[in-house]
Amino acid sequence: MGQEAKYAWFPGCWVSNRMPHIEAADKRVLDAFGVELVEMKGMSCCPEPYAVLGLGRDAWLGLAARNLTIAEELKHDILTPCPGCYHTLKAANTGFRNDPSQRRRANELLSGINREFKGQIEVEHTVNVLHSKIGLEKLAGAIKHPLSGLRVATHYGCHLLKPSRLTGIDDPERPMMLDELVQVTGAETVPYMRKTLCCGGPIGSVDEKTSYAIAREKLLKVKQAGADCLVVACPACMIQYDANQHSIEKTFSETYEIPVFYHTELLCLAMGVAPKEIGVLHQVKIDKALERVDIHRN
Amino acid sequence: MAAIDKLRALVEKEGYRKKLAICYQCGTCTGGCPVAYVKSDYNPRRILETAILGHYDEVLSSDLIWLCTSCHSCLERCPQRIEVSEFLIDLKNFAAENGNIPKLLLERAKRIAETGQSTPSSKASVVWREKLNLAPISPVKVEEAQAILQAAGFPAMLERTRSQADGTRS
Repeated sequence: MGQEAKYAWFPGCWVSNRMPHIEAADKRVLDAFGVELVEMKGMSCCPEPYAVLGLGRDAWLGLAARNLTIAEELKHDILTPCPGCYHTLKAANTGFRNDPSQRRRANELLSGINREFKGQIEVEHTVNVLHSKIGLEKLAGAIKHPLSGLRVATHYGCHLLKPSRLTGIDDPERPMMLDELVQVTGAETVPYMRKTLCCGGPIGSVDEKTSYAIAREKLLKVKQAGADCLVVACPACMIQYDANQHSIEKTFSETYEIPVFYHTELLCLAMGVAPKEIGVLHQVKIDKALERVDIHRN
Repeated sequence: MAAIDKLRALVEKEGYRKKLAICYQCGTCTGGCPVAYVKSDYNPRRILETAILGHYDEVLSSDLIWLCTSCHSCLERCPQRIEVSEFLIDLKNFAAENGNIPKLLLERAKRIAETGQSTPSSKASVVWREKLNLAPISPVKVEEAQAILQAAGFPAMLERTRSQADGTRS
């Protein structure tokens, strides 16, 4: 990747307003490798694949099309840290390009606000840009504080990998990209059962108990594998495993105590960024995991 | 056209029928389904079977279809390459049109329709961003987002469902 890499930055609603510490970590890492992020003025919800796509494909298509045209005006590919946004924007972008009827409909919806989809940009997720555009070699060169001895279970997020006909960045059943991004920090990734299991998050507002039961299955397997922490590439999965972990423990009268990191947080720590600079505000205590790699807060 | 007729028309369309009717009920979709694993009455194979057999009313009024997380494991693993999870999205769309939307999901969708965001900016998030030296988030052009959703008939559908639900309760 050249020095001139520029992307239209699409953090998504959850990262922007609920987990800005993820955005802080993303920006620290991307900035260190000369990636410039351009603000997408006026962007809306991507919109999210469960509550909008699930209720109306047409509405989902229209809002996604509008967001895509904002990046088209900037003449930059979109970069997002959220697999949900990635899935929506990538699916819409690909659909409009390949299916004339979808494109026609998108432009009908856009005509009311004087916008037009032209099909000039691509959509990327941070995992792919870090792993394959910046590359593991460059990342390795920036590690100042190797996280040796830290045992990590990785969780990708369904929409980063599936449907694979759409994303195609890694094997949906045996993914390796995130594992390699973790290994580059000096940490070890541990194999564990149910690695590609969904977090259950999307159905939390429909059936909380079932949503939690799915997350429980993963947390139990991570614990059995003896991992020090779980590293995720999706803010929605992070909410489910971190913010909801205590509620899940209560629901099933169990204890997991599994710290959860977003992948760029781990990379920042290994690059020598102080924890307070990127917030690292988590619900499940992370101190034990940090102490293991000799990082102390404050 | 009523939602049930739209579903019938979709399933009975030549190309679509070809896609669905090749299901030989092996149950791979259900075997790999994260929801079915923890909740035995959720069974994507059976939902597919019900639709193929033409019991459209049963499918559209089902609460169970809303449990699909859209993880797309079934789509990846189906030996017949049936896109089960995409079909479930179609089913949810028709069910929604028919007034079957779970209450909290309806609220979530309404929030997006009104604000253009799934989690709107708050006083706390503004302060938090400042502390992390992040620039303020560019405000959503709500009127543009709303215009598009309106053209797609989204807020009207949500409103119809809400008033139907109120009618049932009274």
